[in-house]
Amino acid sequence: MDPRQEHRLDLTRRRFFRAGAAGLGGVALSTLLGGARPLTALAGGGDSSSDGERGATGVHHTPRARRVIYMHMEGAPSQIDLFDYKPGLRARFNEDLPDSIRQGQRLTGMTSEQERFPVAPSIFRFSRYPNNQDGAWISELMPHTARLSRDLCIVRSMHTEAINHEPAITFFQTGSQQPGRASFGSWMSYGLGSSNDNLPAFVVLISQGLGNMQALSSRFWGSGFLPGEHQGARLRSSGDPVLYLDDPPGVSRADRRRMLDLVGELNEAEMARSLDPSIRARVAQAEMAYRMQMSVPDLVDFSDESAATLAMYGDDVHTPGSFAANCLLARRLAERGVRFIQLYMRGWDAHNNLPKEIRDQCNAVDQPQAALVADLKRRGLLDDTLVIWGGEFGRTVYSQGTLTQENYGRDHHPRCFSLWLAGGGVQPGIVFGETDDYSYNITRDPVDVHDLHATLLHLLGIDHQRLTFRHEGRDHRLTDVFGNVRRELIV
Amino acid sequence: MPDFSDPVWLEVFARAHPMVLHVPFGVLASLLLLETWALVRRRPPEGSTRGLLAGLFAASAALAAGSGWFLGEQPDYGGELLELHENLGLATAGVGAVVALAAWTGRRRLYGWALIAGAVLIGFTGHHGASMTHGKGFLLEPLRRSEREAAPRMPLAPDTLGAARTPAGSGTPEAAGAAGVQSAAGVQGAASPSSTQAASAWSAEQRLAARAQGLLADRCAACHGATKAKAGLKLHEHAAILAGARGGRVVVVPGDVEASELVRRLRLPPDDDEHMPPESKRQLTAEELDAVVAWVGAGLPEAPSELLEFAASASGSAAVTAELLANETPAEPAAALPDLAVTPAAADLLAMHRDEAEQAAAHPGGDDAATPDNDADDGGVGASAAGAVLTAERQAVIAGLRAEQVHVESADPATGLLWIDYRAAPATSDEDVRQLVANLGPAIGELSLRGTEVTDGALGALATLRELTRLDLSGTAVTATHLGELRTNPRLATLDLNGTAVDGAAVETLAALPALQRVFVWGTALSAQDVALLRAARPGLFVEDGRDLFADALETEPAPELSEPRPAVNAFCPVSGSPVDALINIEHGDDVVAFCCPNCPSTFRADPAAYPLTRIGPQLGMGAHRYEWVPDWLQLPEGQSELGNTHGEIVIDRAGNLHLNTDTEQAIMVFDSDGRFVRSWGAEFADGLHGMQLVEQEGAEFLYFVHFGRHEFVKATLMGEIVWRMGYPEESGKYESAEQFRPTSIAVAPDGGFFVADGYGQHWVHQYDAERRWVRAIGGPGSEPGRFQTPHGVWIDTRGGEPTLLVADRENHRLQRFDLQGEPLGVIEGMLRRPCKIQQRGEYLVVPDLAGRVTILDGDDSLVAHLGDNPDPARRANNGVSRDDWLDGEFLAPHSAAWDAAGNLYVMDWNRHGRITKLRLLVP
Repeated sequence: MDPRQEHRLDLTRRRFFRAGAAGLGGVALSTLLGGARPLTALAGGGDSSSDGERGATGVHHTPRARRVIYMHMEGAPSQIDLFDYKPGLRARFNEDLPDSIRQGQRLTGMTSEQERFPVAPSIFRFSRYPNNQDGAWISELMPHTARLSRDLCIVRSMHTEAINHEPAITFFQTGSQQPGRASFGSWMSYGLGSSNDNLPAFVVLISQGLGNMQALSSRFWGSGFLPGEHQGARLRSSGDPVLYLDDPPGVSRADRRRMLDLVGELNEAEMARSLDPSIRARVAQAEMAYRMQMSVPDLVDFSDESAATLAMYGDDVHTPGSFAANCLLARRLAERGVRFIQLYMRGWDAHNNLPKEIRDQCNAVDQPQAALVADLKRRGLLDDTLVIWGGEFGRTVYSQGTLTQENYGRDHHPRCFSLWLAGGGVQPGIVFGETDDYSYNITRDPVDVHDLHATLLHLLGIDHQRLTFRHEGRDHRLTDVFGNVRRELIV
Repeated sequence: MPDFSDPVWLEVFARAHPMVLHVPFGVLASLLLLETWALVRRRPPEGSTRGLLAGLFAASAALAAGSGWFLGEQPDYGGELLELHENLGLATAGVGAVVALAAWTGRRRLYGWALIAGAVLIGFTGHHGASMTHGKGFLLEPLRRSEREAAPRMPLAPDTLGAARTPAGSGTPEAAGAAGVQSAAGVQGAASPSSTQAASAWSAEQRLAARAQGLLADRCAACHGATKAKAGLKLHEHAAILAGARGGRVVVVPGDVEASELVRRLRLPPDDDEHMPPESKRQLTAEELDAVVAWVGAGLPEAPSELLEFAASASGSAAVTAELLANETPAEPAAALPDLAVTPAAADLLAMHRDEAEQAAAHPGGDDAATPDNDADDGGVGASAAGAVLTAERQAVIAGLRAEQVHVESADPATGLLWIDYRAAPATSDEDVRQLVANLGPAIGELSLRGTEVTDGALGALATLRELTRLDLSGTAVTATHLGELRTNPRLATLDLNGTAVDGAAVETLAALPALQRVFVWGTALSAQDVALLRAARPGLFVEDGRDLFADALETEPAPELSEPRPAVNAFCPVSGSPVDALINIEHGDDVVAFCCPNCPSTFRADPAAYPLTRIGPQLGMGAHRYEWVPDWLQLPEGQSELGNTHGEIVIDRAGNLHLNTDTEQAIMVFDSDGRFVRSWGAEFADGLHGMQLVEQEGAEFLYFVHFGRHEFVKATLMGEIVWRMGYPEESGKYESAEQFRPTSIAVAPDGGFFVADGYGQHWVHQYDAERRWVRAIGGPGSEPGRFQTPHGVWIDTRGGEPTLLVADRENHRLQRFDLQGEPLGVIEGMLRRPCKIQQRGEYLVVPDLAGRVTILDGDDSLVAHLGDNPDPARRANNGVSRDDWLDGEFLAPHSAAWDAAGNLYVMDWNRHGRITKLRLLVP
């Protein structure tokens, strides 16, 4: 393309709005207030736009949570073996799933050819743990997490529209099965900005699983149509967490500062000439990188943690990239004010050999995730940190492939599944929603993904209907045109 | 007037105007150059060149004028400039015709004047045309702009603008309280006539109108103005806007934003065909668009002309726009807000402030606002909840804090109170805190000093924060001594003291903090007893000490009763024949049947008979020597029901074929590796062919075998041609007759010499050299080392350095080892019952044991495994067990065992019906 033409296209009105009005609107607001801060509108909800052309301008109401730690269990853990206690199924071992339950609902290609759908009860023992109701039944796979039941809000009535991993994760992360929308963390970065200029507002940490793993696309933490600075920053699990942070040999920090200042002046001049807002984003990112040179080494250095704390997260905490290490890192990021900390644990897609795989997976996550919640709690951080744990859908009660009393597999099941929330204004110590005796259909209080998003945004002080971004001629929301705030889940 | 029903090509012709019009310019320029050159050279130009160019000029000018005329009739065009342009264009065409005629007829004077007239006319025509497309003054615009910027800006009379400001300089709490509610009203609400009651010369509405009209004049009037009115639309003045476009089309409905075509077009995405201004032209910013929309929404008020002039005088200048917008910010010098013009959020905020100010003026009592219940002294900052107000001073303080990496954010949009977080500024000292309290005190709702260098010295200042609800002092040096000072904070509900040195002395003070609801004391010096005391002293107070984070289970369900898992009966998918995935299986009758993939089970269920199961045999051995028992593996020749008595040996050639003996006339039978019959031979060797070895010599394979009934040993090719045959070793002196020599085994050494075991005769092992000369006899009957009872099998062991001779000394229950000179080297015993023979593969030996099992020994001659050990002594070494009584997994009387190259093991039982078993190696 002709570079002049390209330049003109860069300056289209829409683009100008995207980066100039919406993305930098908050910057401008804070310019008014004297600092270069995005979007955290001091004077409160400023979303007075009548034409919806602009996006967020800070919180709409008093937030209960200031940051999110979202532990996504990629591949979808089995609700039947973890949180959705179905003791009656034991007597129905290897019986066919009644048609009255299945109701001809959609199956994946992996089991749709199966002639029988034999019921596979969980081989794991469940125990009842105290909470603020009459207790929560949780399986032996999660002994540490279960002991936190007084702080957990276990939702057993989640459901989703997607039946395969990629669209289902995309749906959970962006509110749409179609790729291209902005992820939850990006919306938060866009809507609230960072509360620590030394670190990105949206950080992604990935742990490899021990079971059957699915692909993990980087667009799960992409910013979609939102300006690029809102996409998640993935910290690497081995070596330098962020590449090229070290000054090259012979370059002092003062040299780097001078270089940045000079480049900044040039960028300012270009900005004045071309009005291209992406230049401002670039300047901001260069400054961020400069500050991260100081903040990241301190972030990933666990030597200031006490032995007792490290022990609480388990031995794996010393292995970079392990879920334990990432949980501790998540707490440290939360302490430092990062808005959205996304953990991915891969390997939950147990189509076959589920008992072994889920046992390995739970061994890797249970202690660290419980330690994370407990650690946040005792430090007073759980009050305003929203913790989410869950997969992208559930798994079937019927066995895929083998069914013996000790071994079975489970296929994808979007009709119902369980996740848990903690902290950040979420009702603690409750179990919400019910499924039928086969954990196949929801019988009470269904919660869909849009509802969850709306509720989480509400806890963060944001009205999900007002956090919008105009793109391709329409106002986009994380919740699209759906979503209800589920007050039952909120304190 | 052209008829609009004319064909489309007319329109195409019309649209060619912008292209065609350049031709006469070029031609005319050429003509002028030609004539000038001629004048200089004082020689007239070539007549034909002049005539051709003149004719071209006339024709192209006519074409340009004609197409231009039709283009002018298109609905997009109108205005007086167009008419002027059209008339000049026609005149140019006329003059062009004159130029051509004069040139052709040789009227040089007329030609000269006409040429000059044409040049002048075409110049004016072109100028007007360009003004229409690019706007007036296009050429010199840059010059004017630089002049304008250099010149001092036209000042706005301070008193005029000042009158518009609200009287109250600061302290408008109601407005702040209403911010959240009012914000939705936004610019539009701010500009609504009902709210503009200030006694000012220019109301907000008027300024809005001036701004909007200025924008339209600046961005739109080039095409939609007095001189050029595309689509008949003129947007340069108020009345013209209301007049709409050609054909009476209304573009603006005052007060109705949604019905206004103008707004719709402005809001369309730039790449939409109907979007205005066109994509390539300068666009409105969001804030500018807001202004226009608000102005339409406000009913299209007309701007006072003098204000309009002011706006027009410097339209597009950010500072002036800011003054237009910002002059009502309370006590806020406009000069401090340089970038407002491009920031919609800023405009929002300003609109909000304007709202607040106006409301404050309208409702001095503030009775309609959310007034927090704060009847205590107000700290001298005006009314209650004064924290909401973002005065300029406070904004400056906030900016300063942010420069120090301190995070400042709204804690509560309803009250405007702040959350201030020092976690990224660990060097914060007591003095910093005192300054913060002095500067922002009433606005602080939540404060985090986590990990800073703050000490007890800061508590005094913190104690004055009346709106403080949450205070985080974790990791600081505060002590219990001064915590009591926080008693004066009326709203402090959450206090985080994690990791401080606070000790038991704090119990009393904490219990006395009036509003305290949650306190965090994990990692402090507070003992469990102290915490218990605190909880007792303040029932209802949540105390987190990190001690009781986990709760044990109340009850556990009984463990499920699981039966033993059952393995699948097959190793290969009955549908596909591929190896099974053991995890994909179904119950079928009493069996568990496994498949290769999830799709096969339903195929199988549909017609099980069509997919016969190949049942997996029992599994034997261990480690690297695990085998699956493959029963009924050998496929006999057509019409043959059994092999007949098997009392010989199995050997395997390079191609993987099995050569095995029976006592029938098929003395040597050959099967391929899949068990299919290949051939048989050796009728003369029926009844008594007992031991064989297959030897590779000079590239060919040969069979050496012994026959105890014929008292001879033989070398033959694999196809059955006899190379040589030899009788009993008379020269040994051990025999009186041939009948005493009943050989059972032969072993060929690497040098070509060989050993023949007289197992069923006189218990000697005879050594021959490569020339088949008898060398010596080894052993002889006896049980002491070096002697034999039935030396049934011999083997040259090549595993170590020097080859050695191994003898299966069957009825002494042992193997004996000799060097190749016949000297005994040792005895292998203990794990052997009645060893018949030895074969080797790699570092392992296999020993068929007539007493019902096959034994594998490792490189140290230690036991690896017994395979298929028959638990029933009566069935061991029993030649007569009938086929129906054979059991998979159990040998009867192993007589020979051989490995193939892949490690599968083939075992011959001594059985009258003939039994050959394959053990398939299971690779771990």
